Amino acid sequence: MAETIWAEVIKDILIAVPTSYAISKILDHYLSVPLILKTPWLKHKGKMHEYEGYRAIAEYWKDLLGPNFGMEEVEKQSLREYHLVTFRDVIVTDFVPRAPGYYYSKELWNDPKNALLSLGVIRVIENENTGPKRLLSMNSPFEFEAHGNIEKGIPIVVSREVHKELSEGLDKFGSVHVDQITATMSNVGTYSRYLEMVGIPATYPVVEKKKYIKHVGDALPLMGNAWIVYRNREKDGFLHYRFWTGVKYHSDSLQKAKEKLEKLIPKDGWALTDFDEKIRHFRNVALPLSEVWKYYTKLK
Amino acid sequence: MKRGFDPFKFGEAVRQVVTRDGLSGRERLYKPAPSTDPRNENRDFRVSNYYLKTAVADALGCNLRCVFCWTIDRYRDYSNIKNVGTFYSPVEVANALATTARNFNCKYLRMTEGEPTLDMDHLIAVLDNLKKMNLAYTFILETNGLIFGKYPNFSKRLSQYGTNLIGEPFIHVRVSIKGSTAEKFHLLSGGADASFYKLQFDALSNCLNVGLSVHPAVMLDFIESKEEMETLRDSLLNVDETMVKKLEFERLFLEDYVVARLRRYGIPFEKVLEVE
Repeated sequence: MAETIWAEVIKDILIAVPTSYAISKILDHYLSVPLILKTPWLKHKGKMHEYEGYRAIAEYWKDLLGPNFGMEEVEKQSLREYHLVTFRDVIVTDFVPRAPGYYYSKELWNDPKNALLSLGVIRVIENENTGPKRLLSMNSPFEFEAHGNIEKGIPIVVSREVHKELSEGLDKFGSVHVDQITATMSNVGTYSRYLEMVGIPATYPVVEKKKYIKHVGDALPLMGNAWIVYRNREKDGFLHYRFWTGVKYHSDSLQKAKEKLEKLIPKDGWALTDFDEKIRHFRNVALPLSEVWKYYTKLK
Repeated sequence: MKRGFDPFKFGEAVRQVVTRDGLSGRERLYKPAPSTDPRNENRDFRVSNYYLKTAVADALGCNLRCVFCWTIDRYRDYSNIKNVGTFYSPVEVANALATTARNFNCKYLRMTEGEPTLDMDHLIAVLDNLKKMNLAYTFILETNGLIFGKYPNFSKRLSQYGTNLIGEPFIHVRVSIKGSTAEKFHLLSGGADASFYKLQFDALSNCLNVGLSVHPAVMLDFIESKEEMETLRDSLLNVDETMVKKLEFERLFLEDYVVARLRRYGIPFEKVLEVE
């Protein structure tokens, strides 16, 4: 029944919106979420990599995207599927960069305008498509280049068992400080056709057992960018606004970000989509993130 | 090249307002910490979440008038600024930063809001006092780089501080480059003469030449094309290849007053989706 209603909504939008073809493009470009259902639990083989402290995030992306990231063609990736990765002293959150690696890619330099539209965070919850897997991200507020910006972080797929270990801190504070995470690199499935097109690999760390996570500590501050795609008579627009997570003094910061975004949408406009599957922040969103899975699966 | 105001003349006029001679050295005006965070209630020096946690001094006064600056207009109105800030001596600033850092277990100290180098005497005196304390913190100097660029000896002087107690740089300089081209610099800086844009890259060179830890930052939101990116990359490559790799992309904070300013100057802050 819900699906029928949803199909009607989509149909209405497609009819009502003059440039409705853009909606499916927006889905492809900006709204797809990684198909973590496909992620296998791999046994590692090959190289081992360690990332720690200052520049851990930047070093990881450099290894995954190639040594001359941000400047030249990718020459050689040293981090690949099946490799074992260990991160020390990282912050984990359930907000995930929407375009992982984009900040550190050559593409950012080629197409800064599109880059902006690809930035921001998303939050997806466990559902029929994810199966027992959950998508989180690792970050480091120690780095000058990253300093807690979730958009620059590393997606990580964890099992239900591992998520349970982290969930209390995540629900209460929004982030947890982890001493050590050991994971196997696995092909998660691309976030969007756009990322695939520009050659950003969909290979991320995957953690199956809780024994691979050592000491879950206090929350630490991270900064995310809430975002919204809106439409009015003339255009489809994109807005973002920052929020903090992992800081008890800024527990209302996500709510404030939502209010700010609502205020910035032009008066004759309405929200097409948002960033959070866990909490529905905006009323009357044409394509809320919580529905994207269903729609995307249907398209496939 | 877009003609505009001279940031050094403007900066000198601002300096006269936001600094004064005190009994223990050159004093500077500082802004009270925002009351939104209970950790900072009734404090002029605050703890911030950036770079994990930093002890922050918000110095007032700048030699530019950037339209996207997160400093609220009340603290950019130099006719009334003495009524909204408090003068502090260098020793008071150093003590307050060290105390805040100790109380909140910070790793870094930071001077921000206005341009920290606007009064070099005051800044050097603050750093001298911190150095004497022999602490384990790194001081992050966030600057637009104009003064660093014009006076190479300033970088040399700062390089003499060397390392902190734990062997990390005593000072790290973050040069916040205003715009990806000279024209954008003119637009974003509130009308500064475009010829001064180059000084920001000279600042990076001057820091590197004397071994100061440094990285550039630029606001990603105002870079609109590949050509602008290439111009920026070439400018950074002229300084040093590492500066491209260390470039930090900042994001715009759409506070109400920033939005109002951007609208006033006709600078778009919302991005239009152009899906082919």
